[in-house]
Amino acid sequence: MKPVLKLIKVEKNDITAALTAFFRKLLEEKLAGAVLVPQRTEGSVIMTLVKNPERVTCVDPVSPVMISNSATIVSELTSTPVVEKIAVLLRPCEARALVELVKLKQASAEQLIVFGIDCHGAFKVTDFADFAGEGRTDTAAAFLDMVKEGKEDERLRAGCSLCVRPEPTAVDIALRLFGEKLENGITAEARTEKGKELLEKMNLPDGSESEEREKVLGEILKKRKEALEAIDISDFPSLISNCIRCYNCRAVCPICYCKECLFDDSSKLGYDPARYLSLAGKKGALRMPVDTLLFHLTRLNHMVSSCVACGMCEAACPTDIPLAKIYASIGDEVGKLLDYEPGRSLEEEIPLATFKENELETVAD
Amino acid sequence: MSEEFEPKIIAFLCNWCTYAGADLAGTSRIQYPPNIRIIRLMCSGALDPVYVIRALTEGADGVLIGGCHPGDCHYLNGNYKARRRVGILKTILDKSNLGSERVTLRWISASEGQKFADTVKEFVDKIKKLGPNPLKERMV
Repeated sequence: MKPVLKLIKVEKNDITAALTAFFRKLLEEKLAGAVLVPQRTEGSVIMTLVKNPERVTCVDPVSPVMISNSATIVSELTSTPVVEKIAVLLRPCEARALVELVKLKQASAEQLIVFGIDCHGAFKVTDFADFAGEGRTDTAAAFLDMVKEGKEDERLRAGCSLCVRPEPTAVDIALRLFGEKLENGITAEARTEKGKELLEKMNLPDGSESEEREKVLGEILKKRKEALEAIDISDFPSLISNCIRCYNCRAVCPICYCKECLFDDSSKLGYDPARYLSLAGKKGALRMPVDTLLFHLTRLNHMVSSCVACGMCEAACPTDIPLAKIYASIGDEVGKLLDYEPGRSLEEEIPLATFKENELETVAD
Repeated sequence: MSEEFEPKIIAFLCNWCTYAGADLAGTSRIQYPPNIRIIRLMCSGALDPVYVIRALTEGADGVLIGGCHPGDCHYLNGNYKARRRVGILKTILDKSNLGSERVTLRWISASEGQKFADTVKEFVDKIKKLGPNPLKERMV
C-alpha cells in the first residue's frame, strides 16, 4: 500500500492541544467508540480509556515519562471480543509489545486502530518529577525544546538511550515527530487500509515527506547502535548480584504473560529447608535468596526473543540491576541469530514457534 | 591434588534416536568414558533451557543434548525447535560469559552407537581441557 500522509495542524506550537483536538474529534465523529490515550494529569502522564469526548483534555505522548508499557493494558482490554472500535495511542516499544502479544494470542488487534508516535524517550519517573517540578507546566513542549538542543540524552533512562527503534512499526497510523516542522503540524502516515480509511474521514489537509527525517533518525540511530555494540555483560553474575528475586521485572514485562510461571511455586523448583541445607552442604556456602542466576538466565531464555527493549524491567527493579542494558544487548544478538525483530510485523511467526530447515547449522555441531 | 579432573556431564537424550543410539553403544560393547549421566526425554524439543541452566548452576561441568537428525524427528520438527532454543541459550551464555562451550547439541540416530561413543569421548576431552565449571563454586 502506498503510504497516505495527512497533516494534523498545530497552532501556537501546542502539540498536545493538536493531538487532544484530534482524538476528541475521533470520539465526536464516532470514528472510534473509545480512545486509549496517554493524558497529562495529576503531575504525570497516565493512560486513560475515554468515551466522553469532553474528557479528552490533554493527550500527551511526548512528555518524557512512561510509567508502564501499555501493551499489557491493551491486552486486558481485548481479552474478550468487544463491539466498539478502540483507538489506542502508543509509543513505539508499546506498539511492538502489542504486536508480540497479538502473535502470542494474548491480545487482539481486530477492534483496534493503533496509532504509534515517534519517540524521543523518557526519563526515570523520579527524574521526570524533578523535570516537571522545575516550574514547567507544558512538559511536552519543554522536552521538545530540550531535544532541539540535543540535551535529552543526559536524562534519558537506560532503555531509551539504547533504543534503536524509536519510530513505530506495524501500526495503522504513524505520527511523525523526527525532522518535522512541528510548528505547522504533525504528519500522520496511514500504513494500513484501516488507517487510511480513518484518516480520510477526518478531512485533514495532505501532508508531505520531510527531507530532514532520515537525517535526524540516522544521527540518533548511529549513536545508539554504537552504544549497543559497546555493551559488555561478560561479568554477568556481578551485574545481577543485587537481585532479591522480587520478580518486579517479570511483573512489569509486557512479554511475560504466562498465567502460571515456574518461578511462582517454589515447590516446583524444590525448595524446602532440607533442600536449602543440602545445597549449602554441597556448595559449602549458599547465596540467599538462591537461584537468582537461574531466574535471570531462564527468564532471558524464555522471553528475550520477543523482548521489545522497553526497559520497564530496569525501571521496576528496586536494586537498580542494569536489565535494560542486558536485555538490549542479548536481544539484539538473538534477533540477528534468528533473523527476527520483535514487533516488526504481525505476519512473522514467533521465533520459538517456528523454524527453518536450513539454519543455525553451527548450533548442532 | 594429583588426581585427574573427572568432569560430570549431564546428557539429555531423546527417546527415539540418541537414547537408542546410547543403548546400541552399550549392547555393542563400545567403550566410552563413564562421565555422563543420561536423562531420557521424549524429544529434544521438550527440553526447557531451565534444566540445562540448573544443571550448570548446580555444578555440572557440561551438558550434552542429543536429538534425531534433521528431518528424522519422531514428532516431525521437535529437533528443529530444540536447535532454535539451544541457539538462544548458547547466545545468552556466550554474551554473559558463562560457558556456552559447555553446552553441546548433537544429532545422533538410533543406529549410530559408534557416533554416540565418539561424541561422549570428544566432549569429555573438551571439558577436561576447559577444567571444572566455575559456577560449581559460585553460591548459586
